[in-house]
Amino acid sequence: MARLKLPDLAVSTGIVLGAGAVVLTLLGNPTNSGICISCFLENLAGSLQMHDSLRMSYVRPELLGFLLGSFVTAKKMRRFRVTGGSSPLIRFLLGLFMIVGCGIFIGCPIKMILRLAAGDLTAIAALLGLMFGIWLGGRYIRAGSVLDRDKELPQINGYILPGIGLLLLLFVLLKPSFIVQGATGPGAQHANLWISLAVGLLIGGMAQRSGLCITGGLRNFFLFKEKTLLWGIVAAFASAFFVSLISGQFNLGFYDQPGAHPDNLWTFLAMVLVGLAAVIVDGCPFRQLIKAGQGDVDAGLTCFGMLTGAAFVVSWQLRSTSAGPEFNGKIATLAGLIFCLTVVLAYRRKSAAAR
Amino acid sequence: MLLAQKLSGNILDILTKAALAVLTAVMLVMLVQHELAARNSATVLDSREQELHKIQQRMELDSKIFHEVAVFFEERRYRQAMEKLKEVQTMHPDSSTALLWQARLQYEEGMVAESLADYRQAVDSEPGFIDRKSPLFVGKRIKEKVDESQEKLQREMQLKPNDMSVQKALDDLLYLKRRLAGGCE
Repeated sequence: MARLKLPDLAVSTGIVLGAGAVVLTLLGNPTNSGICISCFLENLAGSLQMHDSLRMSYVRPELLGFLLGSFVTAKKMRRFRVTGGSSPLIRFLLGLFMIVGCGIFIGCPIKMILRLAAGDLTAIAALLGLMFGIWLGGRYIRAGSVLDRDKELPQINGYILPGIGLLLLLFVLLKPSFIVQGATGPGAQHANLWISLAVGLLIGGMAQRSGLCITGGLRNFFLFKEKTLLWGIVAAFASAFFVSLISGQFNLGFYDQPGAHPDNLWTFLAMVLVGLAAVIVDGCPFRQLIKAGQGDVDAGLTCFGMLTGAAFVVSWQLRSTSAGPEFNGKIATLAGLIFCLTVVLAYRRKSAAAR
Repeated sequence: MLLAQKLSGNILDILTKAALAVLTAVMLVMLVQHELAARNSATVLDSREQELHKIQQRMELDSKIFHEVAVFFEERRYRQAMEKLKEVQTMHPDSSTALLWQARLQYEEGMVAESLADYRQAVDSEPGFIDRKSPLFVGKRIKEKVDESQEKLQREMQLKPNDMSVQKALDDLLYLKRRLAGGCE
């Protein structure tokens, strides 16, 4: 793996991510949700009893795999660099709002790719929204709206999130009574623990090396016409499409799509929120986990924001169902967009004042 | 002075490490003891077992409550079944199983739009009806009815394209199709 060049690595990570997600679906994960960071965080929050929907409760080993795979690879490749201290509360809230946006669309950017690859045409509005949000975020970056620079921190800070990942893995294995799991619903739909963990570790390690990020790939293309990560995204789509097709999971259309709703306007707006927030915090929800594993404390804090958001999404109904977005979710999406624009405006003034 | 500082520093470090080791050991022993006690107790069920146990109890109760409705339904005496169901519904107004029976009976009586609305309400109040992992799963039967309804509704749409009730029924049908397709809801 170390001999591969970055473009090859991004493509190979994309292939494993796309194909791995569909295979996990075939092995028991919910349909079109083989890998979805927001759904998985909602499951994790439920398992930790941060919300009371037992149906949505399960510690997804894939999540722990991403985190620990990235940690082990970063340590092995001497890329474990502990940094942090950049606008922590803003990152926490942006992480929270990213998951709200995902809750309204019903899926994170990876799931958006999986849904598109499985023929779900309702995800087109999400793609357009995500691209617009990222493009908008790129414009703000060009105009100087960038969060504060991070700085080197003592090593212990970088071990905290991987340590929590390890602790959760112990909980999965030992099944203590305070970790709950649903016998029905999405929480009960899962692949074998060891297969899920292995896929997570593999993807986590590869993503750490390649830097694959759904929003980052699109941002780099919009800002610099740089296509390395974009090819990784294309590869993820292509491999998921191919495996969906040969496994009979492909179903082209707007209707009878699993975990989807027909409200395209709110899907678009929700993914604008995800795209914009992801550009500000420098990475999609998946990338935040990978960065947290390689010692980025800011990303770790964003992950805590995402987990908190996942709990609120379920308990406060800040999400969509198959019938469409809930009222609370619409308000939270608008609040998220207001927050993002306030942040970029504040940092634009700050950078202008510095000049 | 320097040596004294160094010694006291070393002693502080040693004491801190010893305290760490003791606290960790105590915590682990407490945790293991607690978990062993919980597992040995026959009355304690884990969250999954509790959930399945509740569902099982509910199914047993439902089979008693809806026994006569089921008998009438099997004998295709839909009018009597509906009358019996209304009686049950007055006693158990929050029962999602009642909604499911109502949907089935309305479908058999040719009331497709009403049947779809009731299926939707039933699925909303009890997602287990369309969850393969749940003992309550009746998704295949619902899917059959939804597919049959689709053909009927398509004919209705051609005859009455601007009819709001047909539009509403179509909305319910598409919702049910999305729910039946699965996903993480």
